Amino acid sequence: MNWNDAILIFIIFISTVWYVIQPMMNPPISNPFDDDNIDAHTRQKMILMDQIKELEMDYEIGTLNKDDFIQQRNQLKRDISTLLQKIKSQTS
Amino acid sequence: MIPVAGAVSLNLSLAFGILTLFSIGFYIRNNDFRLFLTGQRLSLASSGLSLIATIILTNELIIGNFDLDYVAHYTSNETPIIYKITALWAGQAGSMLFWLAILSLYAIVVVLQNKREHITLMPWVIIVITIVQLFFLGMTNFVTNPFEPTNADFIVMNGNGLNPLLQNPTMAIHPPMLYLGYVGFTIPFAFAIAALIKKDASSLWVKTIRRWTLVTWLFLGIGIILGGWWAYLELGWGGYWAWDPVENASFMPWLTGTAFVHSIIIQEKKNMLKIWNMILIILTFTLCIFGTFLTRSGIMSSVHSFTASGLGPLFFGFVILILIVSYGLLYVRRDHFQTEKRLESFTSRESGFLFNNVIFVVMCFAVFWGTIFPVISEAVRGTKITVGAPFFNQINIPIGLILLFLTGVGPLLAWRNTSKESLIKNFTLPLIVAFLSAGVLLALNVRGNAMMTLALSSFVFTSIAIEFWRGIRARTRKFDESILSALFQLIRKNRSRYGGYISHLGIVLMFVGFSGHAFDIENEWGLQIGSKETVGNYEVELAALSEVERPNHYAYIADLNVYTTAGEFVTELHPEKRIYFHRDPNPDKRQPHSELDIYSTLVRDIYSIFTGVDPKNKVGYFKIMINPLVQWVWIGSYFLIIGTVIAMWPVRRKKYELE
Amino acid sequence: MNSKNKFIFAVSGIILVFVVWVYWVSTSPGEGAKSMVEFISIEDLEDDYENERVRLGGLIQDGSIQISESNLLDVHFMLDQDDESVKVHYTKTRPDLFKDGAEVIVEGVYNAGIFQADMLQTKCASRYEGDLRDESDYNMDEVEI
Repeated sequence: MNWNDAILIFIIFISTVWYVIQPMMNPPISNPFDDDNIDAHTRQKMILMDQIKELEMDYEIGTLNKDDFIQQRNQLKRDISTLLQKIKSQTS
Repeated sequence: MIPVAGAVSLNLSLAFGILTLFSIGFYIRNNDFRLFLTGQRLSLASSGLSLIATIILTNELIIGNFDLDYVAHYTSNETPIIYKITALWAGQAGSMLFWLAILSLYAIVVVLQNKREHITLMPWVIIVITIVQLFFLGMTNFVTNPFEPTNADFIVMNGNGLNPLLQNPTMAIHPPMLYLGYVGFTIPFAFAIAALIKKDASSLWVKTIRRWTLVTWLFLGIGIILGGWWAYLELGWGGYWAWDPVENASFMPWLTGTAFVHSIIIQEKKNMLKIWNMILIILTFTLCIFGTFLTRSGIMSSVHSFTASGLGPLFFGFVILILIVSYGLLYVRRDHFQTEKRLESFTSRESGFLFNNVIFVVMCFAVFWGTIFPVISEAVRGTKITVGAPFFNQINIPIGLILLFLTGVGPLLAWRNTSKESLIKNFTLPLIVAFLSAGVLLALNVRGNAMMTLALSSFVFTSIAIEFWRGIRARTRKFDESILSALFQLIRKNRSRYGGYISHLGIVLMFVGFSGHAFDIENEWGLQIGSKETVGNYEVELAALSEVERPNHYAYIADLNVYTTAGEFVTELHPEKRIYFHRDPNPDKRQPHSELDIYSTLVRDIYSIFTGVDPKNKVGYFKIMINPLVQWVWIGSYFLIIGTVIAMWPVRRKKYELE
Repeated sequence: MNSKNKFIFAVSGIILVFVVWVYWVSTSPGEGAKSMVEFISIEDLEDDYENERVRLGGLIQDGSIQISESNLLDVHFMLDQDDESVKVHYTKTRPDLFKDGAEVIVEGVYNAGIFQADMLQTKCASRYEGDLRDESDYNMDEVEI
């Protein structure tokens, strides 16, 4: 083993250790990101809205009959409004 | 000089991997968020160190440091630089490191992408990924270390060099693609296990892994196709698929993966089939590891096999461990993943998906059975048996045809239930087309499986065309667009759906290509200059035979003229017989290689192999094959790939609100 | 029958049909029999397997390759397996790696002292690790001791 190697290894080692222990220098914190948060709800809302779009597409093309379409769309809309209420209650 | 930094990086990577487990484990117990942040960084550091080790090994391969055993075995001073790099995955130790490097790359992407998202799942996701990394770190550190010094009592001035067969541009892409596919399934697997542990049956994480799965499934598919392409262009037996155990090893996870990318749509849209999806993703990941095991253990005698080594039992143990732990966990958590909704009717799209899934798994099992049968037979009855391509073809052709049929049926079915009227309305045209083409084919004397395949292909093609046409009509009515822009907008606005259909179209075209196999013709003979022989409807004439010395080989080049039996000139072909290492004084080290030449059209390929030469008497020996429709396999692959890319392309979101 | 049972019934039906199908292909004579061939040793060949389609594996005996003067595709060679050996006749295109000492697998029928092979595969020597190491360690002529 020569000096180049030794220095290279030393640098790699020190820099990774330094990088890794940084968070431990701060005082303890609890989880700042909750899954029951606006982000998650908004994403869930997006998924449901995509599903409504798909549903409309299916209906237009003719792979979905009218009754099913209306019933499923109403269900999705209900789910979305529940989510919107949750988002609202958290922002206010 | 041995690059100590590489070996040390691997050691450190292992240590940091273990620390990751501790750090995140303590976070899960104490809920001190700092520990989770540290865990993330430890995971990144461990992955980064693995990557550094890989870069160092690549560098040693490029500079040709023959003090390393691995470098001395797989490269030489004469090896072109690109194949010095590909030597990274040419041998066992290197390919293990390469596996690890790709997993590390994926791990870094996942950790960085999800610093704020899926925060309840991520600790477990990181733990699962790290455990898989640790397995491969253990391998590369203790079992097949690529930084092992040369074991020779002399100074090695030049290495062995890479096998000429592997010195092909395809080999620079085929293994990495396959690995990207194999390794990538670790991520959806990790999410699935995390969701099982956290009892998270929501569809949020499903959305995340759907794209991951599509990407990794696409890589696996490209890898498999490139392997077939390489075999066809380079190996000179005229085919692209031989049901070789290692081919099967990559095909099995592709089959279950395909089932998974379909059934996860149901979970995302309908919140159904959740347990089934868990079974599929665990199975797929296990098959990926099992595939690596088949390739590395020497349990199968295969053209691809690495020879027997200590890796076998370790891999086998790992596979069993994954199966027991994952399925045990699924069993314990089964109540949380039950679905409230039930399948209602056979003629619904949901059950179309379900049956497609069952058939895919059945096919995977058939391949598994044929692959593993020789091993079982030897263990149970003591007789060695080989299972050849006819077995696999006979078993899988009917299953494949059913799958092809379902590809056409799926889009014609409505969600939940399809009424009798719409069944009749939707199926009439495709069925008429299918029967008409069957009739035409029979009239042309095309029978058996080829007739079935082509008739079913026309059925599926029509059903896809109808889907497109209906979508276009809906748009032109609604938005007053031209047909072309309607088609474009249709695909753009419904990427996953129409991307999927384009992929299906690709599969149909591939099946058309497969059907051509039934009409393959071949012949082989010796030809003197000026003499002619017939194969099928063609005549082949040897016009000239020349010799040339090139930098790394000596080549005999044949000039073949191909005519139809009516005497019309078709093409010239120039297959070569090459001798690599031709200057080596030891004749055993000279390696002959047949460089083939193919005249390819949409209807058929004329495939020529220069099998032997008698320079004294000026006689060349040739094998000529007429392979109909092969090009459609490659054309179909393009559609498959383009369709998948469209389906997974991220949608740029506009902010929209519900009215 | 409720809908759940209906589906369980259908799926088990598919699986049952499939199992029967696999069993049939695995055991039926005709095409299926040809696809599953026994891998035997040369020792067993002479006693029990005359006129039966089998597979053999072994090494090509050094200097035993005889290529016909009139037809380059026509070859005889001796296949060695430990102490036993058998004469093999093969008339198709030979793989590039076919040479003295190569490890090959042949498939065909044994009759009257000659094994008529119609399939011959060479083990991809030097493709991967072990083979290389066994064959010849390094390019000795370029090595300075």
